[in-house]
Amino acid sequence: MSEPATDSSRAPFVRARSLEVRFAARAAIRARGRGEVLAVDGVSLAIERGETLGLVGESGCGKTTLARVLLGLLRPASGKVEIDGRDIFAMSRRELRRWRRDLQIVQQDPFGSLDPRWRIGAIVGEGLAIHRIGTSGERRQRVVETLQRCGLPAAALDRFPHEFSGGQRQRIGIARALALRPEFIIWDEPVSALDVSVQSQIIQLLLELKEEYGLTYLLIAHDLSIVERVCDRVAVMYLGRIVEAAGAERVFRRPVHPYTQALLASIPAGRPGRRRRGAAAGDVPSPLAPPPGCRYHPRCPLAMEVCRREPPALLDRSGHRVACHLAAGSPH
Amino acid sequence: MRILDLWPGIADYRRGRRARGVVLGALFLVLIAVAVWRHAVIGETLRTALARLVPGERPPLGVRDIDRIVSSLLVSGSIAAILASTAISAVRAGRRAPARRERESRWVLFGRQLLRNRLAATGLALLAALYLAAIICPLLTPYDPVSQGDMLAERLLPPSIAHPLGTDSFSRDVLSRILYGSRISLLVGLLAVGIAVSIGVIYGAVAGYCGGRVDGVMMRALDMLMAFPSIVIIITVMHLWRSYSIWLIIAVIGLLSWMGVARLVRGQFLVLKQKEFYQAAVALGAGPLRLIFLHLLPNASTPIIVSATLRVGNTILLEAGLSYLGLGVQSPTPSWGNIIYDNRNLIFSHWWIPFAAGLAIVLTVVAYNLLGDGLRDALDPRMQE
Repeated sequence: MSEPATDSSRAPFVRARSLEVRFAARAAIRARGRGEVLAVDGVSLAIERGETLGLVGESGCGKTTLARVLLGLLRPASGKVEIDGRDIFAMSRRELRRWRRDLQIVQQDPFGSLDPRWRIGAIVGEGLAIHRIGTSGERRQRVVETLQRCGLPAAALDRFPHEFSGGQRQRIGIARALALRPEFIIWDEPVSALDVSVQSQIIQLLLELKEEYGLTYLLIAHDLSIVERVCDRVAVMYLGRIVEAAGAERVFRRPVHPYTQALLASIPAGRPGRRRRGAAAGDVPSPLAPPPGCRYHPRCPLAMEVCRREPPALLDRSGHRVACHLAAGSPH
Repeated sequence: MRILDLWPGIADYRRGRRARGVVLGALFLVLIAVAVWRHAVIGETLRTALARLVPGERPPLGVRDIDRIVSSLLVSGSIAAILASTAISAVRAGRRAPARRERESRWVLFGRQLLRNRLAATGLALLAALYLAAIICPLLTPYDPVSQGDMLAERLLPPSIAHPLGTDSFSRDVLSRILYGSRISLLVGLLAVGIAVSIGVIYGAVAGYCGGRVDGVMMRALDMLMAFPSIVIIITVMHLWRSYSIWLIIAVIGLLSWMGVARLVRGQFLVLKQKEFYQAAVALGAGPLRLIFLHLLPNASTPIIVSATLRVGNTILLEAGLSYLGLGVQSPTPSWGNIIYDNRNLIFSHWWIPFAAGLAIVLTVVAYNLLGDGLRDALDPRMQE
């Protein structure tokens, strides 16, 4: 599964081609060419059927925006999203809505993701009701099954979200995504708002569901230990661009991009008192005024003259894609 | 089961449904008091009404007669209905039917929260009393509010048992005029705000849901509308129409006061559209109607309800002001505003006449404001345990 997603006989399940998303810096006033943020800047990625791709990066780097584009919730300024070979933004509204059955999201905030005025049964069954699947009795049956599969009692059906803990709510959110029996689920930081003890339970559930239903995942996270445990491949994002992408094994064993190395160095595990080289210093620059050249150069300990001038291309070396002048210069 | 449980509401109260018990018990008490006090009037009215069902000669009914018949039927019918439901639930309780596991609805929780707030409960009780009085006022006073009495013997009488607030310069009972006048004020308040909220919610919902350019254009149009001083427009319209009908007043006030509601709804929608649960619903494939009516509006309902309640008070004040200026309801039809206006020269000699009408306005407005504040607290989901 960790083969490069180059053009083969079979197209990958999800494919994004040079996506760009711009936001006006002040939404109220239409920006006339000024004050624009390139939230996603020329991102291409491919996810094979049955695979889990991890998307890693600091907050504000465009991960969630990318997820919204992949779900068809946000129209990119340019670029394409193809699912099963079909461009979702070329579809009619109606067609897209039908397609949404297959693409679901589990969100980060278990408190904001459930409508406070709805009972759990209605929340989990909403997708079924929207797509008019089965009779109301069958829908109820499916909701109960899904809730139980996600580790919640059938009695949860008549309760309101505020009666549940964070972990339980996240299970409800998972049940809602799962009720439609989708093929592709985006997990947007599914555990970052939860207690550590609950985190591993949710991750366990995530792995089991994938096995059981043959799902394809995109896992957005900034906790690398979870990514390492779950993902087949990893893509690292920095300020709207993908800087490194490869099989999880390779990224974790032999990271090439200095930013990836810095991220890995920030994992607290390992021997105390010893940090790997190049832990990222300073803050992420403002996306309103991204630095020229390589966007990482102001923080990069290995920055060279060329890094300040030219943005590095994302080059593919036997399945390990890296956007760094260092890597381009020397075979790793 | 005790004998006391037969009084409506007490059994409910004891079973833990306190809000329901208190409301039912108090309402029943008031209705019984009115029925006992005016049993002669009610009895006679109902007898006349019954007699009309028998074929034969039927004298035409005036507006006042119909009014009296409706009030009498309402009072006696409500008493009968409350008694019947109490009896039924008493019998059910006696049979010890297994209690259905009650899932506490939001409304039960909400009612409990509202009544726990003393001020809000006071406002609610005051409003209930005012509206009840407005509906059954033919039973509360024997006098006609419009027709003039004996100009020599009954003119400008001071308060007495027969006329608790005295009579005015046309020998009409002031209490009757204030009671009948409440119908105008309360009706104007409710209907005008109803119109304003309906238009405002639709306009704001469209602007907020569509967003972007549509929203921009709609909001600029709204700004222009808001820039007109509404009192000037009202006065102009009234003059142009040469009509001071209550319906025209309601329509004009309603059509001029929806902008604030529209703004509120639009703002709420913009906030809610950013919420994760909304994004999740879109991801599930929800269409615009489902998104607006099942996700956005219910979550925006709290501020809408609160602001509508507060607006009713303002609207009543506005109507009173118009009537005071002579632009509203015209004499001899009584309204609180024109009672003050008609008796403004008596403010020193018969001060209680304008004072009582003014007090009625103040009470109503205060009651609506108390209720509005209480609703804001009770509808806040964080307040619910």
